[in-house]
Amino acid sequence: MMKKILFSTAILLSSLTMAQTESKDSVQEFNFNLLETPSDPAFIIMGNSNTEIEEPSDVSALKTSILNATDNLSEFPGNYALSIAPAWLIKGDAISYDEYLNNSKVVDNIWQSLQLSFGTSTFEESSENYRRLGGGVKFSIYRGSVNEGLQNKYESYFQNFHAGFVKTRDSLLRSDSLYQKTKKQFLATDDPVLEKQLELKLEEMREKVTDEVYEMKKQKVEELGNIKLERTGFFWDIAAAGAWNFYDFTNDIDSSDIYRWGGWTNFGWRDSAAQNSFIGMVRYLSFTNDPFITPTEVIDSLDYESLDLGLKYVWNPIAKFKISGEGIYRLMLNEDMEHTYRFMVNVSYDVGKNQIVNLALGRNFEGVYTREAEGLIYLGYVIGFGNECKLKL
Amino acid sequence: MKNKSEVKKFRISNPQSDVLLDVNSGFGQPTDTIVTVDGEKIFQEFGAIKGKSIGKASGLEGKEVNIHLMAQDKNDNSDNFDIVIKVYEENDNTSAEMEYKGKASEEGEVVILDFLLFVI
Repeated sequence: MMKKILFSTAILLSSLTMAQTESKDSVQEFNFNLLETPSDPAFIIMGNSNTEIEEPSDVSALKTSILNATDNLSEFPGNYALSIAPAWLIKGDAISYDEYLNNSKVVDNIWQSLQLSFGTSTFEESSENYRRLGGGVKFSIYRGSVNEGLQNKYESYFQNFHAGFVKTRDSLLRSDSLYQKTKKQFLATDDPVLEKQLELKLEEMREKVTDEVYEMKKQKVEELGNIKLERTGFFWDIAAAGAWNFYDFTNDIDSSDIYRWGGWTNFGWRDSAAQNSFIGMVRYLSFTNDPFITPTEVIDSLDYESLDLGLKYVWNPIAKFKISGEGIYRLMLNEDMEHTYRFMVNVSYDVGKNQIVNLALGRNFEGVYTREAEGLIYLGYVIGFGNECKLKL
Repeated sequence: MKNKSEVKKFRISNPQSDVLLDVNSGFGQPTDTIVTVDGEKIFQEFGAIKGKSIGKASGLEGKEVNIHLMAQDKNDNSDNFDIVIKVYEENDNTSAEMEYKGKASEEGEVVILDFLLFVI
């Protein structure tokens, strides 16, 4: 049984050190908190994702990640993933809080969850010119609902905090003699120039008082931030993707063929505490010119189709830690091919802003990659370049 | 925390018209709005507001109308804010608008807006 180590701990340690020395500006420029291990349709169809059953999640307007498939620290990463959510990237300013939370309008669900993903990777270690490109689309028919009790708790807490904040600020302004004097001057003047100057002065004074009140009450904001409006209940996703192999990517773009394409649906349920998710999957895949290795022969180019039936369980007891188990039974649709299966246990831990360590153990489908069912061990380090960054890609 | 104040004189054109309020917040971010007149709370409302009356223009004349708004970065799709507060007479002859566009620099960050209108 072969063990496939994709990422070395050296990379991990090196990357952790690098992240610790990040400048303050770079942290402010990007939002790393939405980082997930890449499991978008494009990466799944390319065979680069270490999970094949996606979990329900809200999409990011723009998310990029590098999956560093090299154990050579000097080598530039060869695998990239990019996903965009057009609704949020193009029309996000028109999506209200109510529309965001609403799960009953299927059209809104589809539009807001629509996600286009793209990926590229090398598929021959010997040459960067053997490059695979993938593209995929995914959307939700139902995306789960935020628990009504939790939503009410959040809104009520928010409103109480806000009311207290306003009361304190107004009280401080009423007792501020300089502010009151400036206000009188502002109201009395008809001189537009003076009026503008006093207007700016009043605004500055009010902002200063707001800062002071915030300093007094900021602990409450952290408590507000800790209330997570997570979606729970029934969800149903649809996805499709395709991947192409390029054999001389830089010199002859025409030397390519389709690798895989397919469509699938994921559906399931997440408990009200958002700690347990149960997911089912039905997937059709078409493999074209795919290398297939049986115990008795190596077939360089084989066309076949499969119908995959999968189940997945995810346990997410705390925000930073997640463990999941998934199993997929592959029904070969070609008469002369035997059915096969795959299973995987996946553990991930958010080790810091923009970094996730991921360990996956399992068994792969027979024939697809090796002569026998291949044992898999992935030790992954994933670094993301954020959500809605300044497009320095 | 991000904080912005705007102070304006709001000159009414028709004392009989209602003074109305719109609050729009994009990117799915929650907002809470408190309206005070001379420091007294008139109403507090969560989420978007469309055409809600603050009072008759004649009743607000000579008073301070303060729109207090708080928003929080609270969804996984985006950390952007696009907030517009608009106060206007029912016939739209007089209006004042405050806009805030920006993005949270950390998850859960709040934006506090303060729009003070002296109705004259």
